Amino acid sequence: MNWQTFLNPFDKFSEKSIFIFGILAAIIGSYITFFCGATYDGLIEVHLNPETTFLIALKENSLHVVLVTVLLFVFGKIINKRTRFIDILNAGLLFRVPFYVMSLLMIFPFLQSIDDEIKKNPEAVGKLSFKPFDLVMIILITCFLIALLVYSITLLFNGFKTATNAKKPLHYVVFGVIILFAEILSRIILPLI
Amino acid sequence: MKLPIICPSCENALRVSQMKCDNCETEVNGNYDLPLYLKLSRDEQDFILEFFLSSGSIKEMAKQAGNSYPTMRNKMDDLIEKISELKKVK
Repeated sequence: MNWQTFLNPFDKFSEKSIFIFGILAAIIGSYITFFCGATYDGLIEVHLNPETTFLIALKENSLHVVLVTVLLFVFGKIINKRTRFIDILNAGLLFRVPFYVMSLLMIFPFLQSIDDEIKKNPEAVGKLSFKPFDLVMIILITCFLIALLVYSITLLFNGFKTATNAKKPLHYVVFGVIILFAEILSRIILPLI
Repeated sequence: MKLPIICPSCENALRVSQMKCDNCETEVNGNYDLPLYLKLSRDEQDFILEFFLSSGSIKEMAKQAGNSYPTMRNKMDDLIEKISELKKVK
């Protein structure tokens, strides 16, 4: 697999292969989320929550996949009537994969201890002190988390672009607006279900 | 040998000015427009040929080229757009 395929698997792989991989990844990813005690309380967010169950993780993942798929499919149909639902759904499924990897990073003990400290005293965030090794690890993990976030958006964007043949700058702007809208919607819907 | 369709000097579309019979060496001179198919790049011509040979199945073409269906369909849509533009200019 070269870089091009890594960044845009929708270019090479059939919709069937991507769909099967995406569904399996969602199930395994939800289990990882439960195992690592993470939660997706927004479309592009991962936090620690020891009370997460497998079903909660699956529900959050499903909601996020459905949200981006429905919103992007409606927009895709507007700009190109040949847009297929399965292609947008596959983009939505693969978009979540980097988040499962993010959950895995949550099991680092020092990240959990920092989280506990912040929860105990939220006003003292600025006064937290770290050992040099912990600080280096935090910086490395933060960089990796940002890279994963960028990768997930890249996957969604490339999936959307391949599915709709979108080329105009306005399409890209609306795509960005839809992601922000989906983030707001997920924060409204999640507490209700 | 690859047929040039774009002027190497000014990048305008080339036209046909001479044709020759290989058998009797008769030469025909004039100022003819290139057929629409020949105005396309070699890759685009190959794409149309492949489409024809696979009985018009984009799915089959995608399988043979090792690409996904939407990638192939996008190529087709881009080509349709280009040919429509060329037809308008004509």
